[in-house]
Amino acid sequence: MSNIIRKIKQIVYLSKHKGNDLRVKMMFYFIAIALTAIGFLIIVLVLSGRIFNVSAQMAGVMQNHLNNQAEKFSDELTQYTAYGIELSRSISKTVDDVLEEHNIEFYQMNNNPEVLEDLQSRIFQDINTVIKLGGSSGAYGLVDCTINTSVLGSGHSRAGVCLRLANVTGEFVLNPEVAIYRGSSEIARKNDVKLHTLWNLEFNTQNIPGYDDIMEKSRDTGKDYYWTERTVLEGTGDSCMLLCVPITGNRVRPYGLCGVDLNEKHFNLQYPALDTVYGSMITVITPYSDSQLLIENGMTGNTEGTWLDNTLGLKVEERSYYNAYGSTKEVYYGLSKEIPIKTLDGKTWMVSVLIPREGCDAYIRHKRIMFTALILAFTLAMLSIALHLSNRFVKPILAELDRKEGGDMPADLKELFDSLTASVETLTRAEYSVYEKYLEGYDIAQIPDELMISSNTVKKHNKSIYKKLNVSSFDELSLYFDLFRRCNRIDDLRKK
Amino acid sequence: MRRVLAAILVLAFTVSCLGCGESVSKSNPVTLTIWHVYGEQTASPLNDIINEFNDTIGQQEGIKVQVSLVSNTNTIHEAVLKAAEKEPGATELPDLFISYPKTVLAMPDPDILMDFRECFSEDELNEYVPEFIEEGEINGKLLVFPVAKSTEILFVNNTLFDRFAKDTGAKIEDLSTWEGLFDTSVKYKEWSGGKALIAHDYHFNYFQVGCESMGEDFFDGDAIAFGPKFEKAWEPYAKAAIEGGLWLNEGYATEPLRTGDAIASVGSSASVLYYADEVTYADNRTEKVDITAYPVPCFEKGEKMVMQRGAGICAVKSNTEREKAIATFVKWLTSPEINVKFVTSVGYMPVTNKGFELLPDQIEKLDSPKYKSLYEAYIQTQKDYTFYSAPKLDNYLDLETTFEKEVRRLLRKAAMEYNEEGKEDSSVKNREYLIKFERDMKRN
Repeated sequence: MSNIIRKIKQIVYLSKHKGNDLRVKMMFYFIAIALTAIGFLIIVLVLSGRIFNVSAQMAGVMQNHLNNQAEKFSDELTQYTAYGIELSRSISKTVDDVLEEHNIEFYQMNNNPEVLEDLQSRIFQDINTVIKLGGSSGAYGLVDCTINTSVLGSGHSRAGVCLRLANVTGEFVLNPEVAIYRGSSEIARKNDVKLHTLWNLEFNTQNIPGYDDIMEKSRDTGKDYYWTERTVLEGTGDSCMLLCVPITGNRVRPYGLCGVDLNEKHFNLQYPALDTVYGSMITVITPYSDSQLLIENGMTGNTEGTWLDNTLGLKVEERSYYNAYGSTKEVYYGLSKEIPIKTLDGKTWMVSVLIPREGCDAYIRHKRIMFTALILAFTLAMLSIALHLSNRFVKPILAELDRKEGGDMPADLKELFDSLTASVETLTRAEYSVYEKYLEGYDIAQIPDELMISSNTVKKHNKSIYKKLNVSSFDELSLYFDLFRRCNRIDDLRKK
Repeated sequence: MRRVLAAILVLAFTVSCLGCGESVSKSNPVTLTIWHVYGEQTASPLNDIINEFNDTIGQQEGIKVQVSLVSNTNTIHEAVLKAAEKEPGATELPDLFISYPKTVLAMPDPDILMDFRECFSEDELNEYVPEFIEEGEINGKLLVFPVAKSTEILFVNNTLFDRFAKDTGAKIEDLSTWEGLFDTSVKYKEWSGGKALIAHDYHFNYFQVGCESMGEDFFDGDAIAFGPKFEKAWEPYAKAAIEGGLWLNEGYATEPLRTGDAIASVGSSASVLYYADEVTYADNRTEKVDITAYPVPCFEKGEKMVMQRGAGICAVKSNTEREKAIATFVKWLTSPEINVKFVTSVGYMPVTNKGFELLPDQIEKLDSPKYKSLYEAYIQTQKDYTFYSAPKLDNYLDLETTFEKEVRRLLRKAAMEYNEEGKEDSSVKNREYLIKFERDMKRN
């Protein structure tokens, strides 16, 4: 070890006392050595996961997307809820107006086609406005009355209007086509609206989760609303979350129920899969229970690039950077964030972003290999440069130094020494007096004062000295002095 | 030493090559999007078939088909044109969409569509019914590939018709000719207190096939000829419309049958999916009914002719991987066993010769009498009728849309005037509105 340090000192000394060319080469040599060391250090850090952690980067991307999606969904949900509450207030006023104009009590709307037709005709306009401006794919309003109490099932049959978009598309449509899903066919014809393929005259309240409960207990439109889990609309291919807002009025029980729906097709278009370097990142909004995302009860964004089955729950396993979500079919990596949704059962709801595990693992593996390989290649390249410089420049010098220490001076060096010694004899007396001062260790600047001569005279003598001794600079001359001194031959440089 | 240096540099180069190699191999499936028309607003049977593909061949081949719109050909027509013209706010074209050749003809650049001849061999194409293949050829390219074919069918609510027949002596055979059907419709209107007997989904087709079946060209170039046979078709039809036997409101024929406002309809065989087995009346009473299918009526002095219907599938050109995936899916969907299963769930006919061989067995397996009667009517139609294919005119869709709107609007007006005037004879009004209609159509 001490030998190495001594050699490094010698190299440093030489680089200090030799010309610029050697110094530059020495600098490259040290840089190469340093970069090699740094390369090895980076490889160790990468392998230990302290730097270039792909998992952490992936978690960062997921977190960003998750925050955006959660914010977007919250805004959308707030907007829909606000529309629902306003619709409730508007229908409540319409019911009051109709009751007053027809001079009847609320219960007298039962078996009263004329009044119910009038009421439906009026609330049709409110609902139509909500569906066209509100962005939801469906809106409805029903009152706690039926057109015919004598038909079978009339206890669950309620009059009202439900409008649905005829087509849920992603394109911007100012006046989308709507179809009447529930309500009088006459109203549909008067308003030039088609009947939905699965049209029916009235609502079956058995298909509205929590209907009986809300009609019993609800008193406040602004507080007693709730969202249902995703449910398939009777007979249709549509599944949606329904907002249920009580229509409160001048009686103890609410007048009825209204709201909008959040259609899965709409959700699919609003929440497209994000194509990331890790794979397709999808968004799901689901109830969360027993460490499981209940995909089958929630909303699924576009699942392009994945095999996600929206009928299977995903078991959540927490991990350091992100979670693993597994079903019997596929495993995903992702992150979840709780989101406040007012539901009947008070379950926690989560917004989650998911990427198929297989793609992530492949990406992480690929990136680790690639980065390690690049750093390794770089380190090896630096090492080879250092070796090359060492062989070409440093090794011969050290070898010569070693030989000198061993008293065995190489022939060319001996020739140099002899040539220099002989050249000293050619110096004039004036030149030699300047040269001798240098030999004693004086600098150029000190000579004028020491010898009482002008700087120009010193310069002139220097020029002559360099020429006769065949050196290019004062530094080179100093280097030779030093070499002679180290070789204990400094006196050879004096005139005999 | 030189050797050591060379070895290190080679190693460094090799290692860096290893690191910069191919990007991550994609384990994600190729996702194909589709807009289709099989089951608008209902739980679509095609969606179930697609799920079957995704769970089987799709899983094996890494292909996932995703349904992004289930609508009707008109909506898809508009959406495709908006997307093809890159209209601001329009949705991007899907990989696959169902449409008629008229949509392709209206596209600004049909070259964005795949020529199916490039992914089907001649032997494979020979398996399909030649007329169905020909129908999808545009400018020498097979741009609309047949997946399911339909025709027009007469659907009758037999429960209510029998009640009417019992009182009036009307017979179901009366509905086998247009003259008989329209005549019966006027009687039904009287009997029912003002309700229509028949709703027709495609008035334009009634006249088009009617004229052709009586030996006259319906079109004169790219316009309607309005020849003597058109008048012949107009007369009983307009009489029924003006006197209230023919349903004239907008919307599909399934609507008045669901509310009991009509008891028979002519529409695509595919509309079988949308006929409910019960009628809901205005007072919320419901009644279970039998809907039975029959071949469409024809003119007494005309040939038995019927419109060949059923849009095909179009595919948007893409990279080789996606086009291969598209071909895999289309071949699977039209393979005889799958195709027969698919078409019989939506009221269509298969598109391969082998599919037709398998059809009788598949019909035997059907539970629904409505579907069974549909396929019996279908087989009867195939036996007795000539199939007529609409010409591929650039302005076909415009003509059809204008015709449908105008004819309904004018005859509604005529019916209202007839009711207000309270005259017995509607023939004057009938003639007056034919002239008006011809004038309006020529002006448009």
